Amino acid sequence: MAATASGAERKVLEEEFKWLLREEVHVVLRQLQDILKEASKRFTLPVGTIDGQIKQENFVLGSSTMDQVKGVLTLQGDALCQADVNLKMPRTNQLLHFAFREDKQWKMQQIQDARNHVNQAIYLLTNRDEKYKFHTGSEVLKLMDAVMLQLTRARNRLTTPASLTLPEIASSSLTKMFTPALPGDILVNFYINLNKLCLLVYQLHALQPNSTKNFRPSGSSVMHNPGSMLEYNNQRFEVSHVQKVECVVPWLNDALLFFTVALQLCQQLKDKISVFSSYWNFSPY
Amino acid sequence: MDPIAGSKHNYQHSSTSSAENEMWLIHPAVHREPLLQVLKTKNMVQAVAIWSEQAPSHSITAMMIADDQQTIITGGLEGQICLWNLSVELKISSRAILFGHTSSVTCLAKARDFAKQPFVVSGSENGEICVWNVTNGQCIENAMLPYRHTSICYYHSSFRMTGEGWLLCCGQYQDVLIIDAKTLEVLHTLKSQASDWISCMCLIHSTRIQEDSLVAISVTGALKLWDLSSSINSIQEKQNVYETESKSLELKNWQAVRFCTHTERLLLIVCSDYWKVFDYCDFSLLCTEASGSGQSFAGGEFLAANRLILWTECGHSFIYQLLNSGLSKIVYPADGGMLKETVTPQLLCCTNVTENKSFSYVMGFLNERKEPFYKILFSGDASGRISLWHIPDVPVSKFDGSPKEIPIAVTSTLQNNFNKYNSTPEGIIGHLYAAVTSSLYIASLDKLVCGCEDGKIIVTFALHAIRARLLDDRSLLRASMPHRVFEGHNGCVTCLLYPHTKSDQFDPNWLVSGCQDSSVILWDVFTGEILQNFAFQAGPVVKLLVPPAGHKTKVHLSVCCVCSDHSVALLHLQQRLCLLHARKQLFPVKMIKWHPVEDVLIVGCEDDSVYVWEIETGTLERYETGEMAKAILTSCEDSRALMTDSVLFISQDVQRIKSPSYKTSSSYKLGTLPYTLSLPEKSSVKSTDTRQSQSPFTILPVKTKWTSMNFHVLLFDLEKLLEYLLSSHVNDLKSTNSFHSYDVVKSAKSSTEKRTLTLKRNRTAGSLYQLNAQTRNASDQSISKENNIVKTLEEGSVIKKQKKKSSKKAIVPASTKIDINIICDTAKLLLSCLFPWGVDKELDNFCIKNAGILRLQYPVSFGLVSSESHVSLMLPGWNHADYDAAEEHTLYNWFSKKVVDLSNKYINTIQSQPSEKNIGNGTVGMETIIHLLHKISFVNRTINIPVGSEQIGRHSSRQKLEPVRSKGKNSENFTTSFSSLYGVLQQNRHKFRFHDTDHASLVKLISCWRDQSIEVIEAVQAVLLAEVQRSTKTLRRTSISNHPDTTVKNRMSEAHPLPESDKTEELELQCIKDIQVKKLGEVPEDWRRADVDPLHKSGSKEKEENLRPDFCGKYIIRNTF
Repeated sequence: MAATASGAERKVLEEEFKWLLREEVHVVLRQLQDILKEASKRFTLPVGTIDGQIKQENFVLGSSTMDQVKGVLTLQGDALCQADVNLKMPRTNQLLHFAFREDKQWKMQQIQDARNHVNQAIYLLTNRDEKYKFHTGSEVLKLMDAVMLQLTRARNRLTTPASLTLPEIASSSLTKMFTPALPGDILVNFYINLNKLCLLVYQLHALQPNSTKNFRPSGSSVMHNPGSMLEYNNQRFEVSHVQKVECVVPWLNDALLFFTVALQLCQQLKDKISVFSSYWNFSPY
Repeated sequence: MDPIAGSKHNYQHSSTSSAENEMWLIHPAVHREPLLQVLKTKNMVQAVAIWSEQAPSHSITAMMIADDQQTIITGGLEGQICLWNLSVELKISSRAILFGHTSSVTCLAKARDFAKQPFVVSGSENGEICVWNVTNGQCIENAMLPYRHTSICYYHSSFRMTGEGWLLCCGQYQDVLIIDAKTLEVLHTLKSQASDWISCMCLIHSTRIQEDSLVAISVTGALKLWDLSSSINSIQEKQNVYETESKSLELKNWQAVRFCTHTERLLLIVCSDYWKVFDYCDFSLLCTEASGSGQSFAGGEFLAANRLILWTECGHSFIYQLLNSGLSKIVYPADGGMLKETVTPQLLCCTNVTENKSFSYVMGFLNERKEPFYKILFSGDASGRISLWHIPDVPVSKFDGSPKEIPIAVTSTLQNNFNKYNSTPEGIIGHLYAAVTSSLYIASLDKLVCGCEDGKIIVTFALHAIRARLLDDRSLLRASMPHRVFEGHNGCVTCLLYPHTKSDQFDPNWLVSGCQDSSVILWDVFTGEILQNFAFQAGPVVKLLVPPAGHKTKVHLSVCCVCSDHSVALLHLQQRLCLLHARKQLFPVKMIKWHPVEDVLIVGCEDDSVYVWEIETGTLERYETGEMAKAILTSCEDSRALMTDSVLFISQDVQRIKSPSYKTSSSYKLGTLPYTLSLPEKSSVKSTDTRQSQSPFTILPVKTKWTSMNFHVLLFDLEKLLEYLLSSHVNDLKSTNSFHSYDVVKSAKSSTEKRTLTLKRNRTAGSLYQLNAQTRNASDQSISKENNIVKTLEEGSVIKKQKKKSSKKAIVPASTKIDINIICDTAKLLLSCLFPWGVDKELDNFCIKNAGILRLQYPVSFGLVSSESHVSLMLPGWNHADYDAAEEHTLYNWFSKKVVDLSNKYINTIQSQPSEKNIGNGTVGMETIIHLLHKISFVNRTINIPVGSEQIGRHSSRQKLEPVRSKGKNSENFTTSFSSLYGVLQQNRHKFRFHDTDHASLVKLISCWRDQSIEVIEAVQAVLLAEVQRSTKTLRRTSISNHPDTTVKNRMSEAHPLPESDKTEELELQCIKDIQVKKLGEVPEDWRRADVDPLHKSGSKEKEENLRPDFCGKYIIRNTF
C-alpha cells in the first residue's frame, strides 16, 4: 500500500496529516482537557477551591439483606472526617456504637491517588493549547501515552481496592481512631470499590492455644471470608462473621465515566495518527 | 494494566500468576519476565552487538552527569539507559546502552559514594529499580517495587550509619520511602501528618549546624522538613518519623526545591508558573518571579551565592542575580509583623534552543568540583539529543542590561555517534539488503530470516552471514554468500514467525510473515513457495503468535495475528483458513487466551476490557470490563489444571507432557508487540529455550520502541562451545579449515539440515504413531545412514561421559545434531571477536595463519550480561575515548589500554612457574582454538565467582587443595574464599591441563584483577593475547628444544614479553634456523605430516622478515585437508 501510493496520493496524505496535527489534535486535546477538568472537579480539592471550605457529604451505608451493621460516613474531599458505626452482635443481639474521635480523620488513599493522577494528566496537557505546534506524530503519541498512563492508573486505583492481610488490618491505625475504642475482637476496614464506599466489619473469636484446629493464616485479600485465621499480638483468631455494607458515591461514578471517555478519546487520537504511519514507513511521521 | 496502580498486593499477585500455558502475553509491562531466559543457565555467555545504521531510539526522560565528571547518564522513554563519555574538552561520545528496564526511566541518581563505587540507581515507570555500575555497565542489583519514583536522593552518613546508605525516594505514593542502597529493600517511610504525594525534594546538608535534613513539597503544596541525622536511629528501629516542620505554599505543580549551599540560607522553590526564594531559617518569602507566557519552569539550581539558574520544559534557561537590597532597605510591615528584607532578581544571561528543536526537555546543572572547574548546564530532549552549555563563572549581562545569550558548547545524539563511528553502516545482512525491518533466527536450521522494507524476505545461513558481516576476509565470504529471496509482500515486512520452534506440531517447512499492507503469507521456508496468502483490511500486522500446543481443537495448528487496528485473526495453517477475525477491540490487545472447554478466544485489551469470541461461529459472545473482565481472565487460569488432564487423555503425545522439557517448550509467554518496550524479541527466546540450548550460538533480533530498524545481539555460550569442540576432538575429528572452503560447510550444513529435519519428524512421528514401530525403525535407520559423524560423535560423548564424574551436564544427546564445522566456525568467530587485534602484528598473523582465526573488519561492540534480563551493550564509538583521532585508521579491538599491561602480568606469572609441561604445545588449528577457549572460560569463571562464595564447594576443595600444598610449590596461605573458588575450578580440572601450582597462581592473579575491578573483557583479551603469544613461542621452542640450547631457554624466562620485540626477533631467528635444520631430518612430530618448505622472499633466508607470512597458513591447509 505504502509502496504503491503514488506521488499525488502521497501529497494529499501529507496535507491531511498536517491538518491532523495542526487542527484535529488540538480539538481533541481541548475536549480531553474539558473532560479531565470535570473529572478533577469531582474530587473536591482541599486547596484551590474558591470559598476555601470543603463540602462535606454524608453517606448512609447499609445492605438490603442484613441489618447487623449500619454506618454513617462523612466524606470531605479525600478524607473520612466522621464515621458512626452501629453494630448488632449476632448472638447476643447486643448493640455497639463507635464513632471517629473528634481530632481524627481517615485519608482514603484511593481517592487521593486517583485525584493526583488526574491532576498529573491535566498538567501534562497544559501548555499544549492552540498556540503550541506539534511537529511530529510521535510527539502526539508520546503525550497520549503519558496521559493514558495516568488515567489508567487513576481508574485502577478506584477499581482495585488494596488487598490486605488480616494482621495488617488489625495493626492499621484505623482501629485506634474510634471512641469508644474498638473491642479486640472487631476489625473494620474502609475502601472504595468502583463507585462505592465500602465498610467491612470482621468479628473474630480467639482460638485456644491448645486448639487442635489446623492454624493457617490467610493471605491478603480485599475481603476475608469467615474461617480465615490470623495471629496478632501472639494471639490466634478466626474470623467468625463478616459484614459488608456499602453506599454509592455519585461523583465517583461520574469520575469513572469521565476516565473511560477520556481514555477512549486518547486511543482514538492515537489510532488516527497511526494510520498515517504506514505511509511513511515508520519514519518519524 | 500496571502493577503500581493497584496495591502492593495486587502487584505481587500479578507477578506470581503462573498461567503461562495458555496465555499469550503481549505487553511487557504486565508481566515482568526474564528477558533473556537463555542466559539463566550458569554457562558463561559472551554477547556481541551488531548495530544497524540507525541508532536505537532514545527519548531522554532523565539525565545526570556522574561525579567523576566523565560520564553522562541518560534514561529513556524506551527503558534503556545510555552512558556517554564526556572528555575534559567537553566532547561527547556514546559508550554503552544498558537494557534492563521494561518501561520508561523516570529518575536517575547516584547510589554510592561515587569515588569508591561508581554506582547509579535508576527508577522506572512500572516500579523497577536498578543499581548500575556505570564504568562497565554491569547491573549490580535490581528490584521491582510497587512504587513509581520521580526523584531519588542518595543519603549516607558515614559515622552514624552502617551499610551502604539509603536511597530516599518520592513519587506517585504517599510520603518519602527509605530504600537500602545495597539491597534495594524498603527500610522505612518518612511519614507526615497530612500524607500526600511528594512532588520534589532536596537533601540539605548544613555544615553550620551539622545537621542533615530533607525538605520536600507535596503535590498539594505543603513544604515539609524532616530531620535526618537525628532520626537515623529511630528509622533503623522502625519507629515512626514525622516531619518537624510543615508550611503550606498554596500553589500547585511544584517542580523543584533547592538549597543554597553557598549561603546556607536561601531556599529556591520552583513551580511551573513561578519560582520563589525563601529564607531557610524562618521560611519567609524573599522574592517571586513569574514565568513568561507559554513557558513553564522545570527546575533550578544555585550557581553561587545570590546567583541562580532556572530552566524550563522547552529547553530554555535563565540566570538571575539576586540583588539583595539588604538590610539597609528594611521594610517595616504595616501590621508590625516581622522584619522583612526584599530581594529583587535581575536576569543576567539566558540559553536558548534554536536548532534541532524538540519537546520535553530534561535539564540539570553540574557545578564541577574537580579540574577544570566547569559549570555545566545539561539538557536532554525527546529526540535523544543531549546538549551542554558552559556557564561562565561570572555571568554578566550585555552592556545595555539586556540578557546575554550563552551558546551551546556541545551537542550530540546517538545517531550522530552512529554516523561518525559506526564504520559498518549496514544491518546484519547489510551487503545483501540494508533496510531490514524484521528478522528471525531459526536455531535448529541455523537460518537467519530477514524481512525487508520493500517486502522481500531474505533467508541466509546465520553463521555465514555474521561472518561475512564481521570478518576481514569478507569479500571472499560475501561472494559465496548463499541466500534466497522470497518475494510476495508489497509493503514492509513487519513480523516473522517460525512456528515450529514454538511447537513440534507445526510443519518445519512453515514460515509465516506479516506485512504492513495487512497481509500474512505462509511460506515454505526451504523452497520459498507461497503456500497461502491471507489478506485483511486491518492495518499493518503487528504481531504473530502461536497458540498453546497440545490441544486437539480448532486452535491446533493455527497462529494468531494481531493487526494495528487491534483486531485479532486466527489462521489455521494446515487448512489454509482464517478461522476468525475478531475486530471489535477499541484498545491495543494486551493478551490473548483460549478457553479449552468452551472453544472461545478471549482477548484482553489495554483498557482492561475483555472480548470473548466464539471460534466456531466467529461471533462476539461477550464484552466485559472491570471486575468481570478480571474474573474471566482468571477463570481461564484456573481451568488450566483441568485442561492438562484432558490433554492427557486426548493428546497423543503423552510423553511430551511427562518429559521435563514440557514446561519450557510449551510456555507461551510470547514476546511483545514489536513497538513496545525494550527487548521484546528477547522474551521469545524463552519459549524456544530447549531447542536453542543445543546450539552454542544464538542471534537475538532486538527492536526498540518507535523504530523499525533493529539490531542484533550474538550470544556465544562458551561452555557449550567447549563441550562440543572437545567431544569432537576426542574423536580426532580434525576440523576442516572451513574458512577457506565454503563448499564443505555448505554441503555439511545442508546435510545437517536434512538430518535435523528427519530427527524432528521422527520425534513427532514417534509420538503420533507410537504403535507403528516400523515407521520408527525405518526412520531410525535413515538417521544412522545419514551421516557417520553422528555416530562417532555419539560414541565420543559416551566416552566423555565416562571420563567425567563431575556433575556438569552430560553431553547432550542433541550434540549429534550440531555440525562440527558450525561449531568450529562459531568458536573461531568468537575468538575473532575477542582477540585484541592490532596490539602486535606478529600475533595477529599467528592467529590468522595458524589458528584460522580471521581478523575482524572493525572493532566489535561487546555486551556484558549481568543477569537474566540486564545486559549492557557497547555503542559504536565506545572505544574512541581511548584513542587519538590519528590512530583511527588502524584496527584496534582492545577493550582498553590496560589489556597489554595485564597480558604482561599474566605472562610473568606463568613464566615464574617453572612448569614446562605447558599447554599449547605447538600444535595449531583446533588444538589452539580449544586451548584458547579453555582459557577464556577459565578467566570468565574466575572473575565471575563472587568473593566468599560456594559453601558447598568448600569441603571438597579442602581435600583437593591438599596435594597442591604438599607439593610445597606455593607456600602462600589461601584465603577461604580463594580456596573455595579454587575448589570450584577443580571440578573442571580435567579441562585445564596445567600444573596445579601454575593454575593456582593464575587463579590468584585473575582474582586479583577482579578485585581491581578489571572487566571481564579486559581480562579475557589480556589472557588471549598472552596465550597466543605463548603459543607462538612454544611453537618455536618445541622445535628449539631439539637442540639443547639452554641459553635460549634462559633468555626466554628473562624475556619481557611484549615491549622488547628485539628479543623475540632473536628467537624468531632461532626458529627459522631450526626450520632449516628440520629439513635435515630432525623434524618434530607435528611437522612431519606435511612436507613443508619454508617460503622465502628474495634476499637473505636468515632474516625473519623474508619469511613469507603465508607460509604457516599454507601448511595448515595442507595438513587439514
